[in-house]
Amino acid sequence: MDAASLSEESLKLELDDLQKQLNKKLRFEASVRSIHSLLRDRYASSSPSLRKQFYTVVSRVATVLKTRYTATGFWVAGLSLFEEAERLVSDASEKKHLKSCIEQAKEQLTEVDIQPTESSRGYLFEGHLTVDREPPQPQWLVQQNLMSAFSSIVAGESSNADAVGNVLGETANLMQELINGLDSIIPEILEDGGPPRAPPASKEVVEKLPVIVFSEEMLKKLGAEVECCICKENLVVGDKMQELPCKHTFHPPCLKPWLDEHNSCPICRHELPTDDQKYESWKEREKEAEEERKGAENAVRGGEYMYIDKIFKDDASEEKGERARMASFIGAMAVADLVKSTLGPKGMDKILQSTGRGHSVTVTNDGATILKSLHIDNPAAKVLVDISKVQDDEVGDGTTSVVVLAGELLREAEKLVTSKIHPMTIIAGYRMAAECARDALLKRVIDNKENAEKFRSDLMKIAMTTLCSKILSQDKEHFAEMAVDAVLRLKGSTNLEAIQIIKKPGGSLRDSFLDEGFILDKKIGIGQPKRIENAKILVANTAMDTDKVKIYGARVRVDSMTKVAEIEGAEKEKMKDKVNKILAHGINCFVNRQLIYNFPEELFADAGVLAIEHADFEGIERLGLVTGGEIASTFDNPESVKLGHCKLIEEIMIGEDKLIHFSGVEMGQACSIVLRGASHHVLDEAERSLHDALCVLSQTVNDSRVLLGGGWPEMVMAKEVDELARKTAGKKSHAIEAFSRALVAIPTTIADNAGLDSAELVAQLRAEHHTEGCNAGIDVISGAVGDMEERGIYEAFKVKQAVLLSATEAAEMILRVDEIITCAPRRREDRM
Amino acid sequence: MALAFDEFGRPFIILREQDQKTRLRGIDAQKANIAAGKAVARILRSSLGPKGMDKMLQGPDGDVTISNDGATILEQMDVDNQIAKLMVELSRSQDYEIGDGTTGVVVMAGALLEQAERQLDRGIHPIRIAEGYEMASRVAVEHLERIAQKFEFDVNNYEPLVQTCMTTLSSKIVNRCKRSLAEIAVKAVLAVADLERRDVNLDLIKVEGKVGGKLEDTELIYGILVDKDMSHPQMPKHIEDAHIAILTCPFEPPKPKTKHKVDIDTVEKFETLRKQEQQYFDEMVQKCKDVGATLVICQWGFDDEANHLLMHRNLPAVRWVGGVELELIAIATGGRIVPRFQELTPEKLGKAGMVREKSFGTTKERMLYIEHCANSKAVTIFIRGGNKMMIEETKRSIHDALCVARNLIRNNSIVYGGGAAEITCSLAVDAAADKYPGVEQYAIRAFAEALDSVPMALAENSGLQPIETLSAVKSQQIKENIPFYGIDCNDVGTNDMREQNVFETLIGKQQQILLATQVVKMILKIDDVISNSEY
Repeated sequence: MDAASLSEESLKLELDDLQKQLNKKLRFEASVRSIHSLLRDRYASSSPSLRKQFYTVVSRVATVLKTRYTATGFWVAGLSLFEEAERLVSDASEKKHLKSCIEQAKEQLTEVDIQPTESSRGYLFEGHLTVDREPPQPQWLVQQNLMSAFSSIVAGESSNADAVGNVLGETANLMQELINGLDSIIPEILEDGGPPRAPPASKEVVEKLPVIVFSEEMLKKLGAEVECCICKENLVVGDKMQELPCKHTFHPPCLKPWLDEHNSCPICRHELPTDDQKYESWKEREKEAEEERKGAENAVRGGEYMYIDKIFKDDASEEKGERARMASFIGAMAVADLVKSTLGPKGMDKILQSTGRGHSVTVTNDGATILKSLHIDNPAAKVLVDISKVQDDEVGDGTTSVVVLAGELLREAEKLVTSKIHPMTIIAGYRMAAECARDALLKRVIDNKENAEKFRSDLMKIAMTTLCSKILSQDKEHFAEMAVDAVLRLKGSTNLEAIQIIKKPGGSLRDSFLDEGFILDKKIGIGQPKRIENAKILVANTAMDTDKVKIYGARVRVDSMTKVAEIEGAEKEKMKDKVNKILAHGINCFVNRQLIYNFPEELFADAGVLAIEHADFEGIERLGLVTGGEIASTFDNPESVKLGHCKLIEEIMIGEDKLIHFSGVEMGQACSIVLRGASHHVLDEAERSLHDALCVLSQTVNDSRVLLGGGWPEMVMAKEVDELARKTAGKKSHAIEAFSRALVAIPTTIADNAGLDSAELVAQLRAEHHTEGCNAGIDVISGAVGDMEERGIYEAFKVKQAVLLSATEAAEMILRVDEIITCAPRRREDRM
Repeated sequence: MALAFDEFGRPFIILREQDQKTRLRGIDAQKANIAAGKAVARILRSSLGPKGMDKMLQGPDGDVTISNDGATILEQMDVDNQIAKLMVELSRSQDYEIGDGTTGVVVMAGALLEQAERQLDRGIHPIRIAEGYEMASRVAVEHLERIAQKFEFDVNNYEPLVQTCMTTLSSKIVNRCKRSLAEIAVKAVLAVADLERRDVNLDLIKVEGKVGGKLEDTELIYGILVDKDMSHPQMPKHIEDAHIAILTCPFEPPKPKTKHKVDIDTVEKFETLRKQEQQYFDEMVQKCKDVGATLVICQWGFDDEANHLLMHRNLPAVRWVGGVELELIAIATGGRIVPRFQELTPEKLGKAGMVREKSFGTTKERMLYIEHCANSKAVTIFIRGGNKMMIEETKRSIHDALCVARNLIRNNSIVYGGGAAEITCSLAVDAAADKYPGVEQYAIRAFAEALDSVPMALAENSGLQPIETLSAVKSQQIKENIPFYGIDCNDVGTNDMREQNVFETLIGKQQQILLATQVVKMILKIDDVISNSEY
């Protein structure tokens, strides 16, 4: 029993395997054939579940044939399989299905058969190939099959009492068929009508067959038990043997009678030439036909292979028209929906866990950061990720809004496309709408550049608006103050590198502070002064370990220990020289980008100079910027090197760490912000938020136009765009209307995220905005519509403009696509 | 056939490993090839014209390209079929030769193949079809020559050029600001054109892109833009009246090619070597200073020490500048590229009115503008745009526009676009067909029909009834005997392409017809395809 079930298991596996192979065109025929043989040999003896599986596999063959492959050879193979299966299965519905399959296959074959002959009439070219149908099965084979089917039914009948009535009918049918067939088969067997009967081998050839003497050597090669196949006697050395061209040997007296009757080798059927002219020519023709058939089969398979869109490499895929558009819409909208819930002051955060080592965790609310860390496969979604990244680089804030707006635009576009509006018309409408929306914003901007006091308060409000959606919202006033101070110190430059952000865990966010001076996260060397007043600082980028000899190919080669010592001495001397040169600048603080070894450090300590090593590159640049010194690498001309100055250098403690604090610096451009917070995650997120605020502020300093916030700009734009839609003739107006709907989706999302009744609020807003010069927006804190100017919610014009334009651009780009072609992924070679 | 016998009746092998190769012969080969060619053309068909759609291509590394440019789409498509590769090649050669019309040429070839298939079914021999096509293409090209119009323009009146470039740009995603981009392209080409020899070296126009800003911020710079910054953060960011030393040698001690070793075995040697090294750096900088350079542009890097010395001597420097950019700078500033410090002379310095560093966005992105050059023959088009794909697509569109402007300067004949040229050619070819006595006549007629497929595709993409529109335009052309009527893709309300200002270059159109015919001929002549089966 066990063994039986085991073999069934393996059979099942095999069937599974074969079913998979059906999908590969080149293996199709082979697998059908093996299914066929399995079916014939094992079906009768298998369990019901296995029978079920057999049936599924056969059905699968039928589906594959009907839907994908059309080559004649495949249908022929399929047909024989169906016929076999149809004979064997006992279930009525299965039988019916199989019968219909057989009919279809026959139909297909006659069709295929007719087609080429019809079309070939027109051609006169050589080399035109047709595919012969497989010749019909000889009648005797049909009879045999019928017999076996009959016996299996009889066998099944005894074991399966349920289907008796059914089976009885079947049996009767079969018997009838058998009897009908017998009529035709009997004369056929008598006449042997197929190929001409093979005549005996040519006398001449038989005479000329070589006679060899069986030798010791041959015996060794063939083994002791070798025998003549006809007389079954073992061969002995010295026997005379006749050898046929196929290398089979026989006793001449044994072979002679055989060859008098036949023309082939008794073992391998290798044919010898005959004297019969007719037979020879028939053979020749047969051979050619065979060759031809093979070539044709080959050609058809290859041909079909090329006809069906096999233009791309394997694994490459192509999506067209509606499907392509759907794929890109869905991808883009999925991404937009992903970040949607982070929008607005009450937006939620996301946890991102990296797949890399350590599975480090990031908690963030910043759209660009979220999207950057996603692994996205959808090409349209990548476009959205890209625009959010650009938004981050360019203006720093609004990274979520841009994605959400683009997603909404596409969602609206999808509706229009389904109502049969051409994408190009939608694009034209969107463009007009975007232009109009921008003009609407331009009309309502507030510019307080002239009034420094007011401008500063504008900046404060913008910073607070930006920060209120972030983790810093608790202390937004504190941080807004800090950010505005820092940005105003830059005096119009957008180079945010001059603002250094140092993160130190510990304390609370409120303990963060802005330092007017400069803080370097480094320790002071041992034995060096901890506090220097009126410092003269030399900022350097030079090797203070052993100075390498830079001349190419130089190397030290010595032959004794003393020489080593001497050269070491010379090296030390060189270093000492260098230090002396540096000291000759009259400095009391030396900051180097590279390492300072113990020896020079000691020298500096002796001279009472503060030496700081390994300040990273940006630190050095900032220090140069702050103190006004130049970054030096050579020290030969102390008089012309510009030194940096500051009032006081001292070591300070923040939390547990010691930092070096430069205060009273000459140039006020750079500054440091020290962030304190409970954990690294909080600090990281705080840094990102602060970075956003700083970016927005620095952009606003250059372009001082500001707008109100809280969904106000969207409503203003939507109103103007609606107006435009009413004025525009043609289908474009639908697209323009859709644009305004997409704009309104942003305040809706903000309200939704805050858990407010968005439908109510947005309707109220819309009504308010109907009056000219209205300042209404959604106040998320109180949960009602309010005057944004009074609440002090402001946004930078530049950010809004960038959101509007990039979102439209991205939507347009995705809309224009009507085909997606994905190349096969590059194969990575396994290094193992 | 696959097995041949020598005179002794022994078989010998013609094709190695016969059964491992798939093979197609005769009519099957032609049909398969035609099917493959048509499949490629079908992909591009929907990209044709001002309302054509784009294709999104995902490369093997997951990078995304969105394009409407035929050559780019085919290039990135990663095709495997041999005939499809021929079509890719076809569009590429149109790109190299003309720069525009890469989509049209493939659509045209596809239509010719489709017609050829029909003729094959009629039983016409492929060679006769090929010959008929050849004759027809000659007729079409001659007809184009006849109807072409000369376009007069000069440096001050470049409006016609702008109009033609706008026709090219209108099918791209950048058509929002096609006017300004077309002007930029024309101005750039005119700046570098040699109007006497009627030649333009497009290598002198550098197209640089930077993500960010708006498409409207795209600008033309009469000078060179280098995506690099000064080697030392404290070097001056603004240099007026710069004398530029262009170096291809590093600011480093020399590295002789011959293998050598300098052995240090005594303290004295160590000392002298050290001195020499210092002296060497000093000399290098001094040399630059002596010849009067106020800016050094170097292909290689500098040593920290050299960097500081340069800074210290008040000699701004830029390092790691690419070879192509270096050449352009040399051309623009009239300087010479100097491979050795010893060869620096004042004459070899390039001159530029202003060199400045400009920073973009919130991140550390700086670029170096070299403007007011001695020889303003090199210009840069600086593209801004919302995202990376936009920039890339704009680059390709600008390239097309530049090519069109160049072609017009080479040969100022134009034909009318919007399918007008194809329709009139189709009429001419159809009329000429009756004069040929042979079977080729059918092929020539087929060619005329294939020409119709371009305006047909245009109409289809613009959402018009293709057959209706085409027949209306055709009859209009015949009735009024004017070859300017085309498909009104933008719904302007007139079919007259003169009024719509839709022009194409004569050579571009001719090249399209000739190239497409050539490739189709080649495909038709193939009657045996032997390829290695992979399994």
